[in-house]
Amino acid sequence: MKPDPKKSSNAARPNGPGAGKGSSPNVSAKSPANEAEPTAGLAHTPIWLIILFAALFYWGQLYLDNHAGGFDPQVYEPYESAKLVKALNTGADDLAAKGEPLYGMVCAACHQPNGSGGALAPPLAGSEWVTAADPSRLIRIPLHGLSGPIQVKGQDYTFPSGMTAMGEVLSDDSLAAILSYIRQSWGNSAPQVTPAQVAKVRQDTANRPMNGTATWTADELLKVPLAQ
Amino acid sequence: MPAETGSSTACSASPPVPVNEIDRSCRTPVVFLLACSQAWLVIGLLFGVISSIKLHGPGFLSGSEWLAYGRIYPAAQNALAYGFAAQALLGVGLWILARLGRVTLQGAGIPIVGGIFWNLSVALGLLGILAGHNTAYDWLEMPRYASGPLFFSYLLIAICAIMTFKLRRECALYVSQWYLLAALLWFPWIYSTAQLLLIIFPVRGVLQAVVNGWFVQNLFDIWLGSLGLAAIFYFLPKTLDRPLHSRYLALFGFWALLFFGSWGGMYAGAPVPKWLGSLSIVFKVMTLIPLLAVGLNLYRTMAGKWSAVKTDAALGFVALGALCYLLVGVVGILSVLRTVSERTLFTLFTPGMTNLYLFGFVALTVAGAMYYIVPRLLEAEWPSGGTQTFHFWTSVAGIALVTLPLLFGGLTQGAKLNDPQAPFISVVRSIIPFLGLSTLGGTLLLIGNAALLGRISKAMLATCCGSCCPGLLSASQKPRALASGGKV
Repeated sequence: MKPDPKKSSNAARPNGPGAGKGSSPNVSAKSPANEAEPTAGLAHTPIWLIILFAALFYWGQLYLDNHAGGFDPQVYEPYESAKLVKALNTGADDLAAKGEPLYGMVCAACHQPNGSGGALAPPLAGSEWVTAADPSRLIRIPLHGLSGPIQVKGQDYTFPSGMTAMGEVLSDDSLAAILSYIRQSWGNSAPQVTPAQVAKVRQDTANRPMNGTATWTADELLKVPLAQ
Repeated sequence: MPAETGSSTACSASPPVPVNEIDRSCRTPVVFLLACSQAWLVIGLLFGVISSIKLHGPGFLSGSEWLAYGRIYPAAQNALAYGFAAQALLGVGLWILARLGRVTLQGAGIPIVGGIFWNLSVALGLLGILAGHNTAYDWLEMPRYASGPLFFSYLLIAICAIMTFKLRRECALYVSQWYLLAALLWFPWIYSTAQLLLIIFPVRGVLQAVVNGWFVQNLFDIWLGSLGLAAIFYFLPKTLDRPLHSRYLALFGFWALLFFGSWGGMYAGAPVPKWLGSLSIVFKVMTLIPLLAVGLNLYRTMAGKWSAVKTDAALGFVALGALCYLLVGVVGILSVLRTVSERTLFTLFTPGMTNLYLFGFVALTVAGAMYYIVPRLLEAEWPSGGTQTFHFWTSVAGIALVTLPLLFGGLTQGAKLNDPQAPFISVVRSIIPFLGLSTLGGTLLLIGNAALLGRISKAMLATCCGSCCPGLLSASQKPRALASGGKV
């Protein structure tokens, strides 16, 4: 080892192609003071790489034109454009569609998936209670529950367990969705029930507990006035 | 980056420092970083093998919650990324900056202090992960009490690197210096941003996945990628003893990588606005350009000297590391295309690519650099000869086994997962053979790298004892002048 900065200063080499000559860097630990460090040649970037670059760039633009949904924050996979998303989105919520899975979870066990009713509950399909133009009586039934005899489609029913009060467990949105579903399924075609309508009934019956201790009877419900 | 910088730096005024002095200034910090990184590689592989065994033998070590898969797998990932890859490449980078700048490593003890705290932070972070304090963000699993110290230890090391660059005595810049400087500045930006937006003031909802994806993309493609490329661009021409083919091609590739490499990270079909995924795809595909520029430059540099890889260990490792870089780049580009990603997403394909990147590109490049640097810094010959061949072939076989089965397994797994008729448990059963092969590969890598770790420790001990009390060593053990890089 001969650390001699003065001597090595003379050996500072120009930087450029062909400068990598001289000492084989892989031979000795006692490297000379002016051991060659890598340098770079001056060959040109090949033209095909530039052309490929431009071509890929062009492809990228086309791809973004076709697959970026116009950079609209509302467009998600798998849709292609904001126009399409808007067309599919009618603005009004499809309450009945939202109600279908809820009906399956909460109501179908007694009223049956096809709304035909059974040993535990009356039919919903074709029921005048369900399809009445004003839903304010209908809304009260799931809200507070119902007990005692009830006439549906001209037939008298009495169920020992009655209808369970659901007002504490189901939100206005959920109740509106379920009621809209039963009003628009199995041949029923009444207008949907909005969450606002459910909220109004809740307000009107605010002093009535929703824990199953103050269920309606059919006679009581028939006294509730209907809008014409 | 301009070819020649102004005369404001010290480079034009002072004479170059002799190589011996440069190497002596690098000895303690660089050897420390490299030895510690090799130890983390062994630890990370050990954790990785344990977690890999758990995938096909769920009863293995199931008694301890510390070794549960959800803890040991991220611990392995973090040991490999921060303990091994980052630390090793930073160590190599410090030496390259000093050598290319023809100046001693600046900051004296600061990089050592930084290195010590970096290792303590990684250890603390891994303990935190094993104790169940995982942050649950990919590649950012270390808890806050470890990521903070990690960041500040990084700054210590980076400041020394930038000082060394600033005070260089050789004005002309070489390709490796561009990549190193970019990487040194890139990490504080991405790491602090990710920590701020994910851990300290977390953004809401799915935006977290966007930030995380951006971070991972930058961590690998830009930061580790630039550090690794700096080493490849240095060692390939250095060991071949000829100049790099083209500075212009390198410049083109450099800027193209920095620009296009930093935008990806989201995948098609993520629950975010569609343009995010599409933009990621376009930018990832555009990284084909810097990939070709790097590949072409290295290919032309190697042209006609291919046989040199057989005689020079450092060159052999680095050249294979470069090949893995190009391979994983191409596979990565293919994997983001919508038709491919709908099949490979959430399958073994992703860890397969990560393995190719970490064990192929990073570990082989680092190994080549170590075979070149460590004997020179220790001024000693490697104590034994056979380890190198052993390390090389266990690496090649191990990388093939931790990569190919996972890539192919991922493709079949994805095809079956997308088939609604296929029962889930049959899909799980069908990937067991691939996982088994990957465990075997991990074990091979573990054995090979443990051998290299032993070899480095032995060389360090020999130099250390040789300099303190030479009488202790017998003539045969005495450090001798390095004869050659050895044969692969």
